Amino acid sequence: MRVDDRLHAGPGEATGGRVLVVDDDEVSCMLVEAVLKAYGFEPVICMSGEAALRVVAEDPPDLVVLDARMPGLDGFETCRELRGMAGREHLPVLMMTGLDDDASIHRAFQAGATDFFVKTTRWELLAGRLRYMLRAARVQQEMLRSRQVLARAQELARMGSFEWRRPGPGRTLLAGLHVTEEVRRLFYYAIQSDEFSFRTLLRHMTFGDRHALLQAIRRSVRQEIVLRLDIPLADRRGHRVMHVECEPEYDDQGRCVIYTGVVQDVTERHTAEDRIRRLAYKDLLTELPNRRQFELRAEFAVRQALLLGHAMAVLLIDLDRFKKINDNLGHGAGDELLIEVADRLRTCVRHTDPIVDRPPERPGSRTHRTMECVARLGGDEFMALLPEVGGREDALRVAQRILAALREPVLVAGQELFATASIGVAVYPDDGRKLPDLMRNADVAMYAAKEQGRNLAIPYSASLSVRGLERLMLEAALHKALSRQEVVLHYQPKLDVRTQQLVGAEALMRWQREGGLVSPGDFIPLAEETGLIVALSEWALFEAAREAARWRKTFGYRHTIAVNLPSRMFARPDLPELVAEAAAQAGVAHQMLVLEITETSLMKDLQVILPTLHRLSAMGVQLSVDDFGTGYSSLHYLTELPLSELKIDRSFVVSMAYKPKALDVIQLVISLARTMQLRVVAEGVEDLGQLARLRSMGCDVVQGYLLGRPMAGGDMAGWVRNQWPDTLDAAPA
Amino acid sequence: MPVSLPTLSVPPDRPAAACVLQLDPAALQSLRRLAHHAPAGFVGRVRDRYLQLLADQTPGLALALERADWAEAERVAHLLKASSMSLGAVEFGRLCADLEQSARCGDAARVADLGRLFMVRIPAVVHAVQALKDES
Repeated sequence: MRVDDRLHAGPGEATGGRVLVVDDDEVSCMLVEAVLKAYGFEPVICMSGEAALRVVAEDPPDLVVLDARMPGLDGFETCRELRGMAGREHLPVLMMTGLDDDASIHRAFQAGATDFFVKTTRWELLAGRLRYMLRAARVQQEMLRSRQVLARAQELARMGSFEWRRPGPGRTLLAGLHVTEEVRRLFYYAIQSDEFSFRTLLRHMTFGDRHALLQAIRRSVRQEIVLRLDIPLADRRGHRVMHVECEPEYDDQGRCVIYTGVVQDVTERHTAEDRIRRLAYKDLLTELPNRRQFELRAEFAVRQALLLGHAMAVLLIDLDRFKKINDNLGHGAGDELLIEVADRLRTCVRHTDPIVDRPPERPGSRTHRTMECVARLGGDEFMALLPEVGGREDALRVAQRILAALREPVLVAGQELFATASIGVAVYPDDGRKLPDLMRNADVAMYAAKEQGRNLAIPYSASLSVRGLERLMLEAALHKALSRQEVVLHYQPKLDVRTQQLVGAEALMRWQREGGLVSPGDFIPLAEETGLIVALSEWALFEAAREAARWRKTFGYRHTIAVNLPSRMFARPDLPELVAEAAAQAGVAHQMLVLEITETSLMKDLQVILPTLHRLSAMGVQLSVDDFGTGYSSLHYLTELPLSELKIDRSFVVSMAYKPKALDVIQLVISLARTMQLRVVAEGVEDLGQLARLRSMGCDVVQGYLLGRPMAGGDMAGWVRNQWPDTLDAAPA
Repeated sequence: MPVSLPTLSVPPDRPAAACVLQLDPAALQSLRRLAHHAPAGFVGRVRDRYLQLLADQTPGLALALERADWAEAERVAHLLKASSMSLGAVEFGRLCADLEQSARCGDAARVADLGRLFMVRIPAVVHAVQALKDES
């Protein structure tokens, strides 16, 4: 097939192009018109440049064929005029003439002609050229439209493109950088600078970011790899982040000659990502790092400590009695307190706020220090990370600084509060080589600080762990003690001072474990802490009632048995029903049960337990205040309470012989009880002198080793028989 | 349509050459091919328009040569150049091109020579073109 045939489908086939032919030569016009019609064009004939411009202005054709030489406006001038018309910049113009000299060709292009055609009698060549031009014009039009669409899309996406020709030897790195208008607009918006240059960009970056950018560019050039990074820019109005991504392109010889890429303003995406990171790694209340963030930082710090061979420390900070503040003043006040505490803790260490979501890629010898922080692990628990310390003393110094910072009162909900804390300190590598170990050991030390009176910082030591382990085992065993029937009640008799007759007994809980007895001082606090105290107390209530029934049957026991209950049992509104049920199940009157509560518990939760006390009293259950004299009783409240008995703490009885003040206290308590018409029981009577003194002072009832040690329920009958043979004889069989 | 030609004096040195002209077969073939896709009588209409153009422009050219008006001479030569070639008078078209070029350059002697030659060739061109007919 000939070239011409390939170029044209042939005369007679429609092409659909409207062609304006401008020529003063009528014969040429006739011929060109015929050619165009033959090849499917729609010709419009003009005999002068002026007439052509009018047509173009009113109804622009798809293409213009201009004769170069014409009277009046010649083809060159007509073309120039036409190019000056709005919207006709890209209208294809074919300059046609009999001249084929270089000067005319040059002039034609200078005037804005799209192409040049030397007149010939081979008309199909003209048709072919026109078709090509039309096709090219359409492609160009589509390209322009695509470019406009792309520009619009890029504008919407805050995106622009650029080319970067690799610099030759001796040229600066970014000498061949060419950016589109969109890129200029983006950077203008970001840094408000009319002048776009690499230097301007660098001026709006931090030292670190500048370094990272230059390093990335150099690496990309050296290795001919894709360059992909975010560039943070800052100016007075804030900061914006530009994402740059480009890849190398190669010439025929496989040499990387140019990088093409895009720039996109990703500030909003970054902001959203920051928000997500903040949610993931920050405690929203205090804005401190959360547990996850703490662990990320601490893991890195441990690794660095291992690599660089220095010590590091974690401090577990637990607020003392925070629950009480929350319960009494509400969660809002609790939150306020936590925020204030967080602010103070920040000042105690070199706290860094920026979120770390991955370990630094190339940590330097000081990078780990940027990990130093205070985090909130949850509730009232905070943790400080000291990525490098000289030793345990350094860590303890920081702990002391924290305690001092918290010592100042905090104003919450209009009240001055004192938020002390207990701090456990664990140091790498002595107290653990892995983060979980360090955190666990800091926890052990913190609990030791709590046990030792709070508002303390305690360093971890292996002995604490042993104690902790024992405690854990004890706790596990205590859970099973009830079901294994290891818990028993022992009973200590209470005697009337004057008549020396039995008037009651106090039930005391004992735990028989592995052949021995666990001291109540060891397991009752643990039971209270774990909540097991409730189950134990309920069991004690029912067991005491059952014992009362057994004793009544065995030796005609008609007195009371006192059961010690914690304040949380008195807080239960169903306690009166529980007492009644225990008595009913055992078949005794509920008046046989006396409930003892310590003075401290009574005063601490008075408002909560008061209704229950009244209901118990109303049904005839006697209430006894244990350890009286050790707390801070309000006399006003005492007069209001439905009490039956005050028990003088054994510490006063034990020291009454050599401490006049103890004697004064006993005298006072007895006087008070007399005034309030309450029975007085003295505990811990161990010698006859104490007994005589108490009798002379007017004490009603005594109990102690002198009169009777605590004993198993089954031993009580024998003990009574020994003491009062007549009484037992009178008892029913 | 009859075309009235101006009275021209034939130069005495080349009377024979002025009377014989062979139209270019390739150009004629191209014209006839074009005529296939044009309405009937296309060749005749082009012929008549050309002869009319020749008749209209020749006196002006003669006057321009007389007055040494090279711009007008150039214009007429340019106007006739392409049309002549299109109708097969290729040699005459080239003569027009030479004349146009010389007039543009202000080469008076050459313009005078070519102008005379132009006038000599006119009858032969007219004669040859007049013979053009549409194919039946």
